[in-house]
Amino acid sequence: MTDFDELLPAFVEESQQHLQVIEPDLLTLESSGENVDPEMVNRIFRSIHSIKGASGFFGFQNIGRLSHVMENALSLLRDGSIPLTLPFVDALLLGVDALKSMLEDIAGSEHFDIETELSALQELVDQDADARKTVTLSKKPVDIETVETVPAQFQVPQSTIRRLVETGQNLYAVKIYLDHDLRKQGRTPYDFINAMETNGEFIDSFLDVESVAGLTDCLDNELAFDFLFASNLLPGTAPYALDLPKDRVTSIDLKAVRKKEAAQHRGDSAPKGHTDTAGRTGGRQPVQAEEKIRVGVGFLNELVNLAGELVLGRNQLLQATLPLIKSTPGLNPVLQHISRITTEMQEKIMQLRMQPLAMVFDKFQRVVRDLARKHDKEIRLVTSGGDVELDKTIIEHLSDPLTHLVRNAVDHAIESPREREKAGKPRYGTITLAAFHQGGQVHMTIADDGRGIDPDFVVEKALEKGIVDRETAAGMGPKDRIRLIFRPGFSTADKISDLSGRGVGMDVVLTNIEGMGGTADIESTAGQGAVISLVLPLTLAIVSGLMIESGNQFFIVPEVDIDELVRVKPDEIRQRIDAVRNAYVLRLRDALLPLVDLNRLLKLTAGDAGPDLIRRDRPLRILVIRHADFRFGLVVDRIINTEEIVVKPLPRYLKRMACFSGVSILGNGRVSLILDVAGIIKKAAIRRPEKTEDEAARDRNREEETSAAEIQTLLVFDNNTPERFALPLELISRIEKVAAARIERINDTPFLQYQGKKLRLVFLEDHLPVTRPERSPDDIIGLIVPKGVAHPMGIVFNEVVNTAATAVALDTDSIMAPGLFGSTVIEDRITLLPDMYRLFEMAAPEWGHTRKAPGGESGSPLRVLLAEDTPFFRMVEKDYLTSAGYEVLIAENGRQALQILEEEPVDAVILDIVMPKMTGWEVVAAIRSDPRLKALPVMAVTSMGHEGDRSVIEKGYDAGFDEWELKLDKTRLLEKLAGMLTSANAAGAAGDKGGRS
Amino acid sequence: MTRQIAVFHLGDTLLGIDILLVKEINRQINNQSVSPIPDAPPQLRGLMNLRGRVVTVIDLNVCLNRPPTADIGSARLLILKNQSEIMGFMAKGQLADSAVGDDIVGFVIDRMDDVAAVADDDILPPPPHLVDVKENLIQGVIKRDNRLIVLLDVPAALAAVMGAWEAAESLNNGERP
Repeated sequence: MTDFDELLPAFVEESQQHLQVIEPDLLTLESSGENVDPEMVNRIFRSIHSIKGASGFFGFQNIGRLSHVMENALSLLRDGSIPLTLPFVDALLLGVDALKSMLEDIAGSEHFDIETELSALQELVDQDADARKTVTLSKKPVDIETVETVPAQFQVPQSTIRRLVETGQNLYAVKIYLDHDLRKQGRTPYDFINAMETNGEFIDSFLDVESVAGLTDCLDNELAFDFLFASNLLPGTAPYALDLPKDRVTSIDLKAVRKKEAAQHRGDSAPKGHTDTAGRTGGRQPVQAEEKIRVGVGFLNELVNLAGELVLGRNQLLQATLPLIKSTPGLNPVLQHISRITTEMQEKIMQLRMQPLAMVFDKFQRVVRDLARKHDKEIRLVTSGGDVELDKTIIEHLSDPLTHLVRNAVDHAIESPREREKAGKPRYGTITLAAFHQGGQVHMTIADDGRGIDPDFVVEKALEKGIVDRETAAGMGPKDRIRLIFRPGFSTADKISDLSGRGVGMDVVLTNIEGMGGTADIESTAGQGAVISLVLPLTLAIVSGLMIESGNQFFIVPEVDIDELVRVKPDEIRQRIDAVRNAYVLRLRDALLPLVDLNRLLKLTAGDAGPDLIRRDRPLRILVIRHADFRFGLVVDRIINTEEIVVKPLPRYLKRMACFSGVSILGNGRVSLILDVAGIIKKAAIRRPEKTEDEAARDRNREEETSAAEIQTLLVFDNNTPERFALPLELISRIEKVAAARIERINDTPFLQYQGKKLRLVFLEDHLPVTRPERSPDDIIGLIVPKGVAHPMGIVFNEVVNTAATAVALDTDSIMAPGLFGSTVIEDRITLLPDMYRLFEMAAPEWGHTRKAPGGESGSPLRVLLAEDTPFFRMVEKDYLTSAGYEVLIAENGRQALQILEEEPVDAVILDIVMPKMTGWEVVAAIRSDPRLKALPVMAVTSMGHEGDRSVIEKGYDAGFDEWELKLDKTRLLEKLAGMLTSANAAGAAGDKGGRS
Repeated sequence: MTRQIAVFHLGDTLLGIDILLVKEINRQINNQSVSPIPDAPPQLRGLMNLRGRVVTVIDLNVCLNRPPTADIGSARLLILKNQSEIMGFMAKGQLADSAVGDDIVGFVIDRMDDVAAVADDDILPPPPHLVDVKENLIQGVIKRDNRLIVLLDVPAALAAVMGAWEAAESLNNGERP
């Protein structure tokens, strides 16, 4: 209809963006105390200034008045006329708040009562008498012929005029017509103000309100605005710089104004010496306008959908053309090309939705400051990882639970300064918000050094409210006790006393986080504080999922929920599955996991619920699902493959279905439901089997061990001797129990017939410096069969002690021997970590396990760059490589890997796929697009692409990997690496060699 | 005001809905293309992929209190527009305010019949004992060439599907001791 319809939303949005920047800046200023950073003051000043200017366009007088006073206050601060005080920051923050609320209800902004804010600011300004004097500038009408000759008047502080004269700037009166000069040229008011700010300084703006009766009236009239603009530009060039017709710009004689003003105020005190002002103004950087365009979120989502469809279409195309590839020359490269571009495009589009966590973090500075002042506490908020990016949806959903947690910490956890001093802590409390990437997910911690949570108090409360019974509570470790605060109903109407510290609405926090597919956990030491840790998916839109089949239907289980896959053969069912009351449990190593039969749960089998688990004549397929600290087994009919799926929201008609979290369209075009683990737990009403006293004690021990970072799951076992051993679970294919009598010796070498193969047995005591156990043929021995070794081998042990999820602090000094990675401490016991593959080499040297590095140029060792984010794997892989004679360079993430490639010549690269900063996909893409590196042999070593999942591996080859290897088979790793280097060498001899040049 | 009514067959009944609510008629439904929703009320027949968007397939027979459609292989899917697609019509007054939700929904029907132009005056109140059609889902009836067309209240039908959960749940709870 009119100009305003198009320009107003832009004004609101841009002003809000300005305010977003101002707030953190103000808080930083406050915390910097005496050392006011002039650049920061200038930045705030410019932002307020722009808002003021643009508000003039629309005749928003309230916003204009308020921003004008704020600007005055800031200019006094900038000039050093008034000091930076707490009331000063308070008043400005109040002003920012008022501006925010007015912008939110822009139509009603004129009705806001801003007198409190205005007077608070005015008081500040009045501290400096000089500023109160303003000069009235009159100017002649800009264009005598076309405009009604209304003399416009500008209000300019005296100090400004003085500064302009001192710095030799010219002053211009600029008149612009909203419709003619801006709208028709496709410029927004901000564009124009930016143009002024780039070329000089915009001093004041003026809407001739008298000529229009009201807002409705101005809509239809040609609105004119007057600006006062100071610049070094000469009168001839100013209109060009502002991209306006010449007649819109009139020069004002500053000297005359100054003389006149001096005459009026003769006898005033001598001008204050602000000689440095000139320098500052002159030194100001022009506003750097990065080229950006604004796109609506709706549009972006549409793009995400389309990209999802494109991927789907691509998959269907590949399937349909598969039979034609052989008979159609040239088809395959085209398909591969389309495939790669589709993948890349989808990734880029998904990235568009990523936003930094700083969006949420930044607002907490203010929340903490205000709350702390309210409660008379001294609190410092430290944030890190604000640059970690998450999908927009997650960022939005994260705001509420985080606010809740931070508020809780301020309100309840941090003690008063006096209390803290009494407890021997610093007066000010610290709340830390941190975020980092790990394993393809984002980990966040909200930590405080407050009074912590007393587990016994929590249990008492929980008993009172009937959340747990006494028996269960007695078996709980301190950590489990504290976790009770996550239970619904733990804290309701009656407030938890300050003694407990937390608990207000924690169940809501947990629900919110779980709703996003994340988990939450809490740890606390009474008196020392608490840490709440959240694990979140990077994006809700694309997840890696395992496709499974049950009752002839396909379902998706998000991969992050799956711990491991277990297959139980029909003849093992009786040994491994027990009936406890009416439910079944699976014996998995030493743990008992409740089992949920998906067929029964979803009533997938018609009529009867299908054959009973125990009476199955087919192997059982079980997904071990982990949800927070709870594990259970999900029985499905068939495991198909893993697929990167685009998650679509559940239609509203299905919202009541507890077991599903979303839907997705599979590669075959069918719609599939995504299983929701939390919902399944609820629907199946499963509980963890009661723990024995032993297990409970062990759990308690384990709790004390673990830290949040770098968790590795280890299988801890013994050899019927006092020593304890541990191996990473990821290296183990299976564990068996056999009678020692079955061991056969061929030429003194122990073998076991196992699944039709002759398994070579390795006794730890034969190769490691450990106690020799007594062995008898009546023993039942355990066997650890490693993943994918060239020759069937097994390590003999006595019993599994347990599995430990722990951060391995590897000690490679105290106890070292060939065949050992080193030692670590698990549950207060020294535990040895055998190097399985080295052991095999020692036990069966004749099998020539590993391939040595091919000879490097001029005899120097070949150099391999290894990029891997998990320290344990980094160490193990490095050890493998060095033992084979390679020189190894280490990168902890993708970006670092690329930096090293920039600086150092290497012969080959080994990349993990899931890494922070830059993934393996991104690194390989960068390598392949760099002319110097494009021929460099690159290999993926990852846990992605398990059994039979060819699609990921093929995607890997498409992306430019030369080899794809699963973690962590030494033999194959070295074999493939050597093969890759040899063929690269052959190619290099023929043509130009990449990398090392 | 004259409205265009899309007329279709379902069992022995002729049903009609405002053509502005219709997105398209799809013939691709069968047991392959429609994934069933486990443990859902019988009104929800399944989910289907319509060019990359997910369509909730609704068994209109169940909504109208009849036995479920036996074989969807020979049926058609009448796909409705969603809320944002009918906003424009409502703003221009061409369509009464209707809440149809943001999801894409398809009704299982036997086959399409015709499009009938109907003036408001032609719409009669439903006769007291209309054969086997739930009363609260009917806006009215139209007489055309000796045939009776039952005008379906689409928002009410969709609301009934949403409400089907309560029914299913109370039934479930009743079953359990």
